[in-house]
Amino acid sequence: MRLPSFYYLSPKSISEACSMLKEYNKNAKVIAGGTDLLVSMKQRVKTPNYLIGLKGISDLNYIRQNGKDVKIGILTLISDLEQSNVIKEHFPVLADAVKCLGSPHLRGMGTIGGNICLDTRCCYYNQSKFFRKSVGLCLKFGGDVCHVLKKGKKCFAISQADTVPALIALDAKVKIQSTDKEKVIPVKDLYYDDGKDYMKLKNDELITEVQIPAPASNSGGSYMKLRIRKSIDFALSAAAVTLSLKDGLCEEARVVLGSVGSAPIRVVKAEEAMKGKKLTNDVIEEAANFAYKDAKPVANIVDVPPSYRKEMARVMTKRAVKEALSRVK
Amino acid sequence: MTKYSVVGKSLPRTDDPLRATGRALFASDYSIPGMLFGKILRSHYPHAKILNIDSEKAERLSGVKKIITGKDTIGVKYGFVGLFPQTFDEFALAIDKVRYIGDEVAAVAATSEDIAEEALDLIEVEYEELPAVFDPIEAMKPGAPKIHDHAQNNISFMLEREFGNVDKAFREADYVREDEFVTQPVDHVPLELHAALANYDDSGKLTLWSTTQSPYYLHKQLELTLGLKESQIRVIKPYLGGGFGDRVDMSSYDFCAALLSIKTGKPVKIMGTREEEFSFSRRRHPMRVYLKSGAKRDGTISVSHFRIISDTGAYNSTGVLAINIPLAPVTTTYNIPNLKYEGFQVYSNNQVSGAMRGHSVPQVHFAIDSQLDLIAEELGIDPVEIRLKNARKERETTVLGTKIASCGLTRCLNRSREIMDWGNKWGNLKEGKGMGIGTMSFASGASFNFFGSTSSFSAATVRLLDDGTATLLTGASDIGQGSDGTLAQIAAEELGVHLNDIRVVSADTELTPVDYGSYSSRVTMFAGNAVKNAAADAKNQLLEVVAKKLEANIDDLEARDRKIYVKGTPEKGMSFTDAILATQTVNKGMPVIGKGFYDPPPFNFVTSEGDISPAFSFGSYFAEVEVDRETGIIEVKCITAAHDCGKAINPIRVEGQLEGSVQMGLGYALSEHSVTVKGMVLNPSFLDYKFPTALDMPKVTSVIVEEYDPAGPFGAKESGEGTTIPVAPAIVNAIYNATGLRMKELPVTPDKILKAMKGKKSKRRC
Amino acid sequence: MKKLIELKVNGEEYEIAADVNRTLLEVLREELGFTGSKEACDLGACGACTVLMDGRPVLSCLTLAIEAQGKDILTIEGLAKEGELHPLQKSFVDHGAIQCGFCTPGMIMTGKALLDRNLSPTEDEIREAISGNLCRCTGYVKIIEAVKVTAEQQT
Repeated sequence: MRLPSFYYLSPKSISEACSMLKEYNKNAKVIAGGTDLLVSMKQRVKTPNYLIGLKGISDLNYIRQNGKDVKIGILTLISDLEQSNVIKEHFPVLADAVKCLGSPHLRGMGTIGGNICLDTRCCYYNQSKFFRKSVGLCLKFGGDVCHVLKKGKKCFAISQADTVPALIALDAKVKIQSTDKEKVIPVKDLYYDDGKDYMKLKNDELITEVQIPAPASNSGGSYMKLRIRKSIDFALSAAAVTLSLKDGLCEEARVVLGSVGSAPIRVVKAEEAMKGKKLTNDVIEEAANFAYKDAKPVANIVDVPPSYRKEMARVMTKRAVKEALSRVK
Repeated sequence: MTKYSVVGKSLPRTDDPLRATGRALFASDYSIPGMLFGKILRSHYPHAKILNIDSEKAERLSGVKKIITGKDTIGVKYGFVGLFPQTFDEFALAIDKVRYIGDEVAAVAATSEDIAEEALDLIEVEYEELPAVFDPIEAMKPGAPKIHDHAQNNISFMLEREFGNVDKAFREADYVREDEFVTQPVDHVPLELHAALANYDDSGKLTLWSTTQSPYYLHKQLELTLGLKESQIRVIKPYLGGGFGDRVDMSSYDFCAALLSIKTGKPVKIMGTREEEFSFSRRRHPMRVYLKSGAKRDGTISVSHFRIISDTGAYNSTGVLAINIPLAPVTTTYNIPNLKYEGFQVYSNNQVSGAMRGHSVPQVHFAIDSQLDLIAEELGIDPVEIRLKNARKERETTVLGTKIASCGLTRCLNRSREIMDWGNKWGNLKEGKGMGIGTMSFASGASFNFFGSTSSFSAATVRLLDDGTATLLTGASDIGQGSDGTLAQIAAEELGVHLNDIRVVSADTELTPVDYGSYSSRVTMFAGNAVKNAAADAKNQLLEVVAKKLEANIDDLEARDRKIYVKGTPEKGMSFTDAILATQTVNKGMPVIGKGFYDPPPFNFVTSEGDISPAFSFGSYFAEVEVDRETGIIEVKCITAAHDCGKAINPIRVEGQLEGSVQMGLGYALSEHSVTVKGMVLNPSFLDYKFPTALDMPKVTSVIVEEYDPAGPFGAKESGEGTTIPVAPAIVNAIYNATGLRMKELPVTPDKILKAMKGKKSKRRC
Repeated sequence: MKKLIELKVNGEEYEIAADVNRTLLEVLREELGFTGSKEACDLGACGACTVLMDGRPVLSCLTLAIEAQGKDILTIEGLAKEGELHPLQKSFVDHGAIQCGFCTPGMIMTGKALLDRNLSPTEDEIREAISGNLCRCTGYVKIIEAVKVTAEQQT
């Protein structure tokens, strides 16, 4: 399968890259690790005229500890995060997430930025030209029919990035640079709950850094990913949990679901259900029940009924809470 | 001194280093200067009339050299089993209509792959869409869309047989039960993609490098569909990256590359994509197996009634065989004295089904082994015991009249029972853990001569060289299973030389004697015997001369370790090299060439009586699983795979077959499923088709049980296809043991486990 | 649009004019004749195209040739030295780790990268390392064994 043709641009700085993005507007795509974009391009899901390669920009690949805060350069490889002692030590929820992402090869090529920007996925969207010609164009592709929900007017493609629920559970932020300014926003504010237009980035904006605040003392975290295979598999349902304890009671908690909606779903009710309480099995069950209620999967993963993925949101949440609890330090 | 010096040793193939260094050339690695690149245009409709094909725009695209459609062919249909001409139902390029999404409509040759791809978009095909049917049960109903004119109720092939007295046996049975089992379509997924490079030269000769498992059949099918003479074609199978049955049939890549090369006079290469592999190449027949059995109180099965509905997809392909083949295992694994068998191979507008490792036996044995456990439970018998009670024994004849000379099923069961500590563990495992058994028997090659050829099933020649080595010519195809090595070991043993003394030239229809190919687990038995006979013929030519030189009786001579000598006195013998030179001298320079062939005992295709195969392999696998009751995820902890393959010519390769089979069977049981919606495959990629990775594999303990079979070369039987059969039933029976859930539909995905738990308050067995 | 691309493969420098949309796999196989790296899925999900780039296993089917410039690329063809198989290659041959041989180059390159960074990997570490390489013949058992034995022999 050949890639479609494109012009390759190699900016030397972020601002140059932003200018290019601005100039070529929707005809350009940024390429980092390429593990997602090139697959989509081979399938002609995406056919940008310009590829803006970031690899020539120096100093985008780092994991820096600033006190207990951590800053991660956007081109940092997933495998570098996997091997990072800082991440393992202080951010177990992220350590879990990077460990189970894709395959060792993909982790060695893919970047944190690529995973944050991972396009939403659907078994009717991530397909070839032949497939589309046979079944017709879906909403995400600009067509007028959703093959999953026949009368649907909204696209339900799923957010399946493993690191994103973990980053949201950590209250992480991203630094975004554009041609004229720089801003820092929470990761959770990056996404629309829409499978088609899933990201709030403007055309000339580039994420350059991930910032994770220091974990509270007495805190723990965990990411639980349900998948059929133990490698080369996206999550069917996933939960990222961070929590902290004070005097044996849950002080703070974050519960974020992955793969059961077009954006990661923060389950505030589950968090509330745990806060100020001792995390007994009953309390955890109750919290997990809110996760179940908030999970809204549709039938867009091959051969996996959405009811199962919904139920698994409960199980993954429960397990993630228990695991996070056991890791509190 | 052991009996054999080469056979029975775990030796690598002499050319394995080439595979390790990347120097082994596979079909897709070949190129010829000036070659064109081909692409195939396929139907987007599951069922439609072709009204018109307009390729003018595409032809005008710069770089496009030729476009072919059905009109450019001679319009002859082909198939796989010539004994039943009505099953020759497929045009190499569609003429009248298309019958599944992916049916080949046209092909392009261009100066680059990109241009060929672009040209496909410019070919305009006008279709008239026809109603389509995707479920074989629906397809058999009156009023269903008619897919082929010749096939009433869309039944492509039907087989009804009765042996013994079925009605009486059911009346007299103490216990009768009926169940229905459903299996899913799965794909072979060899790692190498289809590739074909055709070169039609100025002398009118077509050479084709192809990813085929059977150069012979491909040669025959090309003769038929291109209207060429046998001598005008040469099919070469280079190194092949797996087959598993996918490549016994002619592929559209083969045909289109050949015809495009003929039409352009240039070499043409066509490579498939993984999507094409998943969506349009053959797949395993999805089946519904209805099974009613009667048993005595003591667990003796007295009668079985099978009703099998198989979805062949748009064409028959190997469908005749898929319906015939289960007749063997349903009567060979267990001693069933009364049998009723109804098999229906039904057309649908789905992807075409074909041979796949075990060819319809995995489906049927899933039913047999599942039901056997159900019967055992009802009658209060241990699952091992019920199997031992009914197990086939050596020197028995089945109800079909098939003679079973050797059978290690009982030994397999006893060995795996011991290794798995069944006696202590069965019934005492923790909640959520369970053990289960699957069994099998499989033909060591089918005694079917599909084309009614006058040539034997397999032939070989062995040419001895002046330096004391030998060149073995065999038509057999090493598709990755290692047959080149196995056959070389057989030749070396028979000649009395070392493995490195044998060079193998195989699978080239210009050079090598006829062998029907690598399918039905036939190579070791059929080609192995042919090679052994050829080597013996060459050796005997030497022995005659050596006997005279040594003034010994020819029967007292032995060839071993590069020497020929009177038994017991190797020091007085003659070197193998000297023997060759002496023989050539005596024969006035005539080279020493040994010839050999093999034909199996006869089988009557019309009555299904006789020896369906010369010998059968047997096996039993024990699986231990752990079921996560919250997620439904099943983890297979370990599998003990005991397999009676007769004499293991190369034990490490037998183990390799067992271990590889476990992976394929594991996927079949739990995760692999080619999911279609209205004939369109939804998961045509490695990402979405879940075949197990290294992290998903259980611990595998391979147990080779060697029951010498007189029909096999050095007593060998099959090991390759049969090995994959017991995996799924062993796992599914273990799931039942762990959860009390009887899963009758494959694959057993976690959501099905949870659904079954909800549907029924699960009861735990024992 | 063609561009001049400079690649360093198996210690040799190559300069070729290639379209910018060519993957490293396509250039290796079609322009430079290194057909040992295989195409089996072309979408990054099987590992058959694995080569080492600066010592790390990468999927050459998802690597733009143009972005592989300036890197040290090692393919399966560069592993044997002066006709002598690399210990891992020899181990694959001797332990039945090769059946059809199509996944073999990718497996060996992945295995080499593992052994280069971990002298004595555990069985679980080997499984993990090759879990991006699919094999349909062996069930991985003998591949894992071949890597393990090589590690044992090296230490």
